[in-house]
Amino acid sequence: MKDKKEKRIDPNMVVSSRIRLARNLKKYPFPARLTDSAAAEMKGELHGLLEDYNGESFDFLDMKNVSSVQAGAMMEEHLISPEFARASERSALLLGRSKRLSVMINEEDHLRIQAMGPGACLEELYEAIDVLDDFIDGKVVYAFSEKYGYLTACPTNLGTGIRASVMLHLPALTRRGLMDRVIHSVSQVGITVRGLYGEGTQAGACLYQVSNSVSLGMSEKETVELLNRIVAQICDSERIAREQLYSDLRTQDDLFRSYGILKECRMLTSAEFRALYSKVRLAAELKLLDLNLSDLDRLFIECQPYNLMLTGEAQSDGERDQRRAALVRQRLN
Amino acid sequence: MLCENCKKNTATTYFKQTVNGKTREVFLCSECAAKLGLGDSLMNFGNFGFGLSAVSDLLGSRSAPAATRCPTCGSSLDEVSDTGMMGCADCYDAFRDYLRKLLPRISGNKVHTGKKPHTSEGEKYEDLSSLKARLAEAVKTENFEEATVLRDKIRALESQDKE
Repeated sequence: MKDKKEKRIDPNMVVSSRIRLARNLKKYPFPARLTDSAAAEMKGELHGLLEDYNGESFDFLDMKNVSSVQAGAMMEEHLISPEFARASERSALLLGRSKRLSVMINEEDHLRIQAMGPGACLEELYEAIDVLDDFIDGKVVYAFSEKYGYLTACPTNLGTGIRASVMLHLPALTRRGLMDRVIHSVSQVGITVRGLYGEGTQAGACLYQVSNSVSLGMSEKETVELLNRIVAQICDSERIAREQLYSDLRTQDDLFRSYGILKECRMLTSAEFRALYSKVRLAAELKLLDLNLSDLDRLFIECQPYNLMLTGEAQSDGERDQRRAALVRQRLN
Repeated sequence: MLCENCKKNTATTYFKQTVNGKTREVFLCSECAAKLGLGDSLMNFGNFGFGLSAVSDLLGSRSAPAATRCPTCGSSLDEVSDTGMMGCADCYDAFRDYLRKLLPRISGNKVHTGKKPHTSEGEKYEDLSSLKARLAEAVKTENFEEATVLRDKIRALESQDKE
C-alpha cells in the first residue's frame, strides 16, 4: 500500500528540467588562468570532440562568431549561462541539433556538459548526460581526485560536479508571500532556489529554478532523488496555496481577463507579458483554459527581448512591444 | 619589511603573542592589521576576538609554511583566497591547508562518492578516521594482513598531511 502522505511532482507545474556536469581537462589550467594561445589550442582540440557521437549530431559554434543578440537569445532559451553569453572570444559551444544536449567550452570550467528537456525528466536527462560524459571521458583526460572527485575551478562544484535543476511555476506561493520561507527551508537540506536565469536574477513570471547546491559527498543518483523529493514537496505546498487562492470566481476572473488582454493587446512590454503569461499558464494548469503548456512556454521564450530582436532589424522598445503583442495575438487566436 | 599577510605593502604594525611560554611575532601593514581587527579598531571587542584568531592562524602558519604559489599555474594563495577560485587541478594539492579549512564550510567533511572517470585508480578515498577505525577492527579480528595494508595507508596519509 502506498503511503498516503507521499508527495508527488505535479508535472504541470514543472516547466523544464536541466542537468549540467562541470568537467576540466587535466592538462590545461582552468579557464581563468588559460593564456589566449592555450585557449585557442584547446578550442581546436575540442572542435571535433563529438563528431562521431552516436546519440546526436552536434554543431560547433565558435562564440567569437556569434553576435551578442544570438548569444542573448540562447541564454534566454537556457542553452548557455548568462556568464557564457557575455564570455570572451575564448569560448565555444557544441550544440546538439535537438538542443537537448550541449557542451559549453571555457565557461568557468573547461566543459559544462548540459542536458535539458521540457517538464519533469531528471532521470532521463541523467541517463543521457551520463552516456555523453562517458563518451567525452574516452577522448580526454579529466582532472580528478579520489578525495575531491572531479576538480573544478570553484571548490563549491567539487565532487560529482553535477548541478541538477528544475524550473517550477509557483504563482500561488509567490502571491501569498511564502517564497522566502520555501527558499529558507530547502536551503537547510542543500537545495537552492533562484530566479529565472540563475544566480541573482529576478524570479519574473513566478518561475523559479530549484537546484542542488552541494555536489561533494553525494552521488549523482542521490542528488537527483533529493531534488525530486524537494520538488514534490514544493509542488504540494503550491497545490495547497492554489486551493486557497483560486477556488472562487473572483480570482478565476482575473485569470480569464489576463487571457483576454493577451489575445487583443496591441502593445505589450516584457514585464507585463511575464505577469500575464503566469496567469494564463496557471489557468491552463487548472484546466480553466484549454491551452497547451509547452506551446505557452515556447511563446514565453520567443517573447523575450533577444529572441524578439532575432526576428527583425534593431528595434526600439516601442517597436518591440508592438511585435511582442502581434506575436502573442497570432499564437493565441 | 613586507607585510606577512598580503606580502605587498610595507609592514607598519608589530604583533607579539606568547602562548605556553612560546613567543611568536608577526609584522603587518596597516590595512591588514585593520582587516584582522588589530588596527584602529583594537578597542572594538567584537573585532578583537576575530583578530586574535586570524593572527593566530597567521602566526601558526609561520612554523609550518604552506605553499604560497602553485608550482604549475603560478596562482598565489592570496589570489585563490580572494577570488575563491582555483587556478588549475594542481592548486588542490598546493593549497591543501587552505582547502582543509574552506571545504568543511562548503560541504562538511565529505569525500567524493559517485561517478569516476576512466583514469581513476578505482579505490575509494578514505580519510584518517575511517582508516583508523578499520585498522582497529582488523586488529580485533586478527586480520593482520589487512591491518598491515591499513597501517601503511595511514602512515602515507599522515606524512602527506605533515608536508
